[in-house]
Amino acid sequence: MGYIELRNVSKRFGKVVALDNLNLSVEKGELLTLLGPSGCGKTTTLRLIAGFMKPDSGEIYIDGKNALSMSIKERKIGIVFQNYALFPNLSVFENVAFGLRARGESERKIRDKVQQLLEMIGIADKASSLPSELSGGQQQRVALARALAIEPKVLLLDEPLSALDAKVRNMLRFEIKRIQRESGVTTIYVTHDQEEALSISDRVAVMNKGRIEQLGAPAEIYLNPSTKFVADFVGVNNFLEAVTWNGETLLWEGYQLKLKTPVGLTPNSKVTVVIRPEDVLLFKLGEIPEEGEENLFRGRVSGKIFLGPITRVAVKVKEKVILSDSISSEKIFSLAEGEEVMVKIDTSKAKVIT
Amino acid sequence: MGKRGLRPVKMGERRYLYLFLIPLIMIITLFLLVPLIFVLRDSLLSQGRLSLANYYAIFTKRLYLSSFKTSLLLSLTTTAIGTLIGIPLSYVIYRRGPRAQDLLLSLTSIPLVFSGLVVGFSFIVILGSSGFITLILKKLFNINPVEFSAFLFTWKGLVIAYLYFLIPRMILTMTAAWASFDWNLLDAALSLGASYTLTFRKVILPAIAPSVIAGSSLLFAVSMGAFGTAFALTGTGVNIVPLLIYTHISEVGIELGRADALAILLTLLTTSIVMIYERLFVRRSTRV
Amino acid sequence: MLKKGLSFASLTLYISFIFLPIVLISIGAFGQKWFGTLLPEGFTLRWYGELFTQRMYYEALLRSMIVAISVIAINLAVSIPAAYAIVVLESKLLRSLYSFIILLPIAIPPVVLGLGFIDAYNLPGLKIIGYLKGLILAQCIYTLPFTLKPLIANLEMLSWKSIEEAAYSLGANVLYIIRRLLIPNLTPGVVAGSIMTFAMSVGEFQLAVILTSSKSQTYPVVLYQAFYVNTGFACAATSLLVWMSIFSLLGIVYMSKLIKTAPERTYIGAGGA
Ligand SMILES: Nc1ncnc2c1ncn2[C@@H]1O[C@H](COP(=O)(O)OP(=O)(O)OP(=O)(O)O)[C@@H](O)[C@H]1O
Ligand SMILES: [Mg+2]
Repeated sequence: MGYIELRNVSKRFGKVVALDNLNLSVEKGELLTLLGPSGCGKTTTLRLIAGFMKPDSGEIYIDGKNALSMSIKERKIGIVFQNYALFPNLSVFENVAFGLRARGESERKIRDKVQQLLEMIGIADKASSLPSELSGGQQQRVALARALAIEPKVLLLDEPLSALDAKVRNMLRFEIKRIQRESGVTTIYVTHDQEEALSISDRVAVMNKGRIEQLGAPAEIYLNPSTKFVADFVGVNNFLEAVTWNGETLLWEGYQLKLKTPVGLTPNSKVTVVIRPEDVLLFKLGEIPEEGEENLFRGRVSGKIFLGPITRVAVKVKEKVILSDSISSEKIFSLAEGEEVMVKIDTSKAKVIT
Repeated sequence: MGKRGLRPVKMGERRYLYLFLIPLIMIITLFLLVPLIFVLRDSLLSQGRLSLANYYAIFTKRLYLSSFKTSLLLSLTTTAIGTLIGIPLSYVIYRRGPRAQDLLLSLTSIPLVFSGLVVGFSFIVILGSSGFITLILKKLFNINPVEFSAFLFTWKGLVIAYLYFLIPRMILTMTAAWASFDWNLLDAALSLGASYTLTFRKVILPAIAPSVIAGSSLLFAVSMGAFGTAFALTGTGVNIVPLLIYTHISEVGIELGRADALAILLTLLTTSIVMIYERLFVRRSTRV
Repeated sequence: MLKKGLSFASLTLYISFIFLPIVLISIGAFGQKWFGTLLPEGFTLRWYGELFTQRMYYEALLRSMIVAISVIAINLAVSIPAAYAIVVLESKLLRSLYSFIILLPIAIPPVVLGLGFIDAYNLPGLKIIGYLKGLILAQCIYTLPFTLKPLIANLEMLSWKSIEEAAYSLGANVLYIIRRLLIPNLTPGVVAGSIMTFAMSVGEFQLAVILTSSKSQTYPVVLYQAFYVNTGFACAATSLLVWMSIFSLLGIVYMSKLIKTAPERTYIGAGGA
């Protein structure tokens, strides 16, 4: 049994089904991310675990005990909200001390604990400031320290970084990971940013419409998405709608697409080939790829985005657009819109979803 | 499961919070709904029996008909003038930049905090027979002050006095509209070569029309129900609906049922017009 | 250029329009004689002296204060729990109740409310009509939006729901939350609401003239009678209301900054009629 366990949990709001027979098991000490689009039920899951709501049906266990018969206080859960929800009338110190005071800890213990936490998150010098005097990133650190102060069994973070700008976000992301690892607290992290999810999690649960579509290590989710939804959500992907011709050949837009590993499907079944832009190779007309001319299609450049080390080129093959990522180079820059090029699909990296 | 001392806080089950509304609902029921129900009931009673006689009287007797006529005339005039003056002023204020705008909007609130009495008396001091402006006009154009100021105590005078608290309301409604208007749209239209009139018709008008309608509904409803200013200026000399209701209340011997019927009709009118305002303005602005 | 001049001129005209009454009444209150001249002649404090020595006026003023304070107390007692429930429950039904209350003063003209009080509660035993009690209760309804709205704005500005959830999850109990978080953070809303309610109650004339008797007249009712006394005295008596309103407004503008709302939005449904 996991440290946090949700079994067949359902929750509806009127007609909206927020959670639909959700099952989730979180191991002790891990950082698990709930990743999914807006409205898929991430916040609802956290609120049920925290005890702000009761599920319509299903069970929730924390540390082996039935959470549904525990009060919010007994659950001992630290929460960090998207909008921080710091107490505006209390200083940074008092915000962090709040849970300890509410639990009647001694003044000495409060002083030591708060001091230690403020140093850990690096804002010891702001102890007497009010939340309104801090930057967004600093406020989020205080919220984190406040949640950790009660030495929670579980830490819940609901899109903690979404209100911050990109730079601060990237820095805080790793800091949260470091603090989580140091404290060893079991953590559920909610986000709809796939990059964030993949970079900090031990495991990622991709949610859709109140269910978990796939649960696994970040690399597994990224490299081996089990559904089209996951593939789509986890990265920028090309989706080629094709039909099977025989075991190792597909038909896509009238072209033959040879697969490296055969699929055991009857001919003429519909499939989706998922291929990442970095696995679509781009050639100028006349260039002969070393890898052979298999799966090589002719198209026209319809757009180009410079992404720093990488340049993403959109190529129109017949009426379909295929994205291809290449290392930024003079060759790529010189491509003109409408220019004819060749794209080669590396089907060894492709995933066929039925 | 063992016995528990305190029931744990289960926020999901906080239905009991609806109990917090009981005091509010009680005073609204007792001191708003019950009185209104009595007004409705009494309006349907004539000499102790259920009848539409009071409403019949209102739709046939000259006194009542003319009170509605004057009220509507007054309210439509004030609404039209208030809207026409308020819109450009609101634009001028909006264009002043945030600090000046803040200050001007605070000034704009002044007339709204004043008692109607204060407004009424002020206009006696300004436009009465020895009023400030009257005397200036006398100096400049040699008018007869008494003749000039006589209009102040008719419905036309009320128009001017009402504008004092109506123009600010239009301004407040419209500045919100200007603030939420997407000005890029305007530049886009003009840069695409659309003419000013076309831009106005296709871009500005659709965007601000709801606020203009909301604002004028508000102005109209306020004018229909206003009482203090009119009372201060004219006593009960101008025959408008709120004053007529008051005369029925204060003078014994007149049938109160008529006042009740007048009150019901007036309330129906103001409430439905306020609804327009609510739909078009309050909802939009609270959603943001 | 022309545009600029036009906008400047219209603003000047508008501001004078707003201030003219205030200026004239304030000057008039200190003038010995004001008849047939542009501005009053001579300087005197006599009118204010009379205002505060004539029993009718200062007693009425006192009554108005009693009414205003009672209305504030009742409205706060009713509105604080209601505002809390409306913000925390987030229900659509309650939202519509709230938007209905906000527009009450315009939707239901006070004359109608006053008439309703007479129809419903004019029973000798009750001692409501003709007594301050009746006026207080009627004004509670009339001023409800001005108490309720700042409270709700205040709670929303705080994102109170998350604050409270954060506090519960940290292990606080209800009393601790009320003492350490609710009271300190809701004070601006309470103060703003009280000032607004005060301003509306003190100048309220329509209900007062209908629901009070000669023994329970409030200040606006006796003020109305002062209009027929003499210009200087009438100005002095009126200026008292003018300045109470303006100081209230200053207070509200200041408090509204704290709870980040535009006070005008509330006033739009109020006063001046
Ligand atoms: N208190 C509520 N009342 C009614 N509907 C709700 C409530 N809370 C959530 N919902 C609905 O339940 C669904 C799931 O909501 P939830 O907040 O869990 O989504 P989320 O995954 O956190 O989305 P986001 O990324 O936008 O925060 C949504 O359709 C939402 O509208
Ligand atoms: Mg959410």
